[in-house]
Amino acid sequence: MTTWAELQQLSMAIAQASDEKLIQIVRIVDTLPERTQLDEAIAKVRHRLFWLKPPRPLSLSRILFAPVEDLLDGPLVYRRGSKRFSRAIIRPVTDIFETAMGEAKSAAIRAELAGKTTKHRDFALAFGERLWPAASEILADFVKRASSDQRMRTERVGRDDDVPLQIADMAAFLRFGARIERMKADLPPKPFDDLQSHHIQMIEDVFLTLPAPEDVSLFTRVLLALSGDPAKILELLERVKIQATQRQRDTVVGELTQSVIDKLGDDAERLIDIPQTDLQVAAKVAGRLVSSLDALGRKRQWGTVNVDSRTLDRTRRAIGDFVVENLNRTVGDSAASMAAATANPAAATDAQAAEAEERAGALRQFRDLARTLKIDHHTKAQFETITRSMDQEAIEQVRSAVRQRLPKSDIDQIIVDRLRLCDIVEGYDRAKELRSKLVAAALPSA
Amino acid sequence: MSSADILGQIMEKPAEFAPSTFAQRGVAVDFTTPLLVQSRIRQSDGERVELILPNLAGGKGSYILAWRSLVQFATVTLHDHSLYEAVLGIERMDPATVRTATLSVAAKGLAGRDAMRRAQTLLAQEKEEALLTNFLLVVDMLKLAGISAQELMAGRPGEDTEVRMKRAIFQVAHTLQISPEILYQRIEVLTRSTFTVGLPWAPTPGRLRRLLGDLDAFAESLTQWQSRDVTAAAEVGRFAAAVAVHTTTLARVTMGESDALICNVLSIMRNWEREAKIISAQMSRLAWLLDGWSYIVALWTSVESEPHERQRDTILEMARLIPVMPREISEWTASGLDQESKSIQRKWVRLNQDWRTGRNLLDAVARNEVLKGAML
Repeated sequence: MTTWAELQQLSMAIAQASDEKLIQIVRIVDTLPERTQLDEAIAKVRHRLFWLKPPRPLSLSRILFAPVEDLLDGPLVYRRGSKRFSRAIIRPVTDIFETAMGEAKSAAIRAELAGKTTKHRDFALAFGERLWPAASEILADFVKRASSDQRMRTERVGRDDDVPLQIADMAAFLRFGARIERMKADLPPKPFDDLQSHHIQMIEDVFLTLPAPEDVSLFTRVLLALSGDPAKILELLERVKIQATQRQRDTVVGELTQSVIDKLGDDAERLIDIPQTDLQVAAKVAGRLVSSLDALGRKRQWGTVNVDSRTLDRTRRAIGDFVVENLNRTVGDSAASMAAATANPAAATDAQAAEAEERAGALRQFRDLARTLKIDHHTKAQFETITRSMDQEAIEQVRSAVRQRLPKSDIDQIIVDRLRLCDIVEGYDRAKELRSKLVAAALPSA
Repeated sequence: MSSADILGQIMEKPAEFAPSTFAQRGVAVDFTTPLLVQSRIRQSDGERVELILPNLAGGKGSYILAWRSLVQFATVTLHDHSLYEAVLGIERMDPATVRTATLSVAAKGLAGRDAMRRAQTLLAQEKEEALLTNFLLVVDMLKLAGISAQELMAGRPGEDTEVRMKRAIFQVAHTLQISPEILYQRIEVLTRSTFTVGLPWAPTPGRLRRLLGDLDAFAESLTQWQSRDVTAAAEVGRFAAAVAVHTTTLARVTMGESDALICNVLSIMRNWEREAKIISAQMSRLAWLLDGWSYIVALWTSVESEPHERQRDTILEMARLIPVMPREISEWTASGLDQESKSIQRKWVRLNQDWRTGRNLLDAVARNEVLKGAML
């Protein structure tokens, strides 16, 4: 039996080993029938192995877990409800599969895999395509039986309720094993920061063919694990078409956002890394993050999730900063916007009007978010500046339109457009006030 | 006033809303605020206008409240404020007058540009339909009076068609022993009450006749949809299709009766006091029967090519909007649909939906505005 001290020493030795030595150590470890705590020691250098990519023997476990390889956490790091897998389930899952297949078939599989390594990618994919659907059925069947036969469950996987949940999750992933592997093969190497348009197209194509939002969730979990910038994946999920209602999309994205916040922990500011150009998307993502935070807070109160309150506070603050930053940017843009409206007061085109309304909707959402985040005292001044400037811009546009003798129908259209924007951002009472100002500005003597 | 007091004020009549007559059921109004969408409005005693809102908590019954209480409680769009003011100005509240008010407000652009263009087109279309109906009624009446189209076209040399028509009307008025002005007035009144349905021999069907066709297609589409669905939404779909079929059946009976009457315009002019009243009542009944369906049909059409899941959500949303038949109809036909509506017509509260204030539902407002641009 290895003692704790010995394991620490071994871990230290492995961590300090050169690349060449490390590859040798891994090769030796891979040949051992029982790895037990050695896995723990290797876990500490997994990031180096990722870059070194030593050829590893293709075992049944490796093939079975290939589609979810990037979602595996060491048993000490793994957290329930994190939408990831604990490495501790590798053994029971492999056992369940081998038992269901029978001794003869398992031996045949082992024989087929003998001598093959992770370098044989085509072979691994072809083999997986045969293996994963069968494994998915076996695992799903096991979970079904385990739910009604507590004794069998305890004997096979222990009493922990989380293990059957993970196995059921595995079954779901393995249904799409081949498609997940193909998608991964088409993506840039992990951790990718940015996706090209053809990558996004490919992801959208995959998502569109998935029958249920839960399936989209599975693929997104893989993407989140591969991406160096999870916020972008969540934003992508917000935009791409999927076969789901808004409600289902809210549930899927909400749950995934919670898992990302939980995983990022102190690094939650990274979630707010949204391109500066698109206020509408920024408002949507911020709204989603706030509701996910609220959900996490509630779950924490009920004790169903073990999330750190510091993480929640930091994320909340990060979203608050993000809201303020977006408002500041809008304030900064208002002078240019007013100059443009005065110089060219013509009524907006349909597309411009629609975009302006979307931006107004985003501003309204930011206002509500500020209230939810209890930072409205910080943002009050910005909102006042923005709304004042919107009103002023509207009046100037109407005056300029009158000066330039635009037709009355155009002036009426400008007034209606401006009133709609005011209604969206500030509501009826302010819109009513603005209406009288605009009507006065539209008089030829004004 | 605390929010609890306001709630109390709004929920002062939480009794189950089972209207006895169409007028008591109220007219569906195309509000764009999600909370108010297709709420009904009716005249109570005197000049008071009541707003009938489906139970806010999703339970049984409806809330009957004053507009003032509502705006204290919920955020209502600029368009809806304007629409409410327009509705307040209506002298006699029925589907036709409310529709005109709705289109006039939408034509100002307060519900967006698409809705504005659509409203302007529909208003122009209504004028054209009224003109066509008037022309067809006159021609038919003259034909029945024995003045053929050829005679009308030929006439005396140098006379234009309008003068010839006037002369023919004088002739008919003389036969009916009334003045030509009264005859004109009667034709005008008949036009006003029939143009929304359209004459059976008109080259293009009137708006309500077209809506009836759309409602048939809606019922068929929904029947097919519910047979493919395995969730509770199938039950709602089946109910909606059944109510649609029930409505079209009643509407067809009414339309058949009025079509038979209107085929003899000369007889209507002769027995004006009796027959004009019958026709006006039949047309009004048709308008009440089909009231509220235009939005539902447009809503369903907007998701017909969408994924099944989205259609399911729409069906659940539709559940509360299906027009309840008043007792005067349900007791007469004994369809049992009024009883079923009690279990079907409730709100299906969804995640992330602010059912109370209508706030932050800009997508839903935008959707309602788009539908305004697609309705008949």
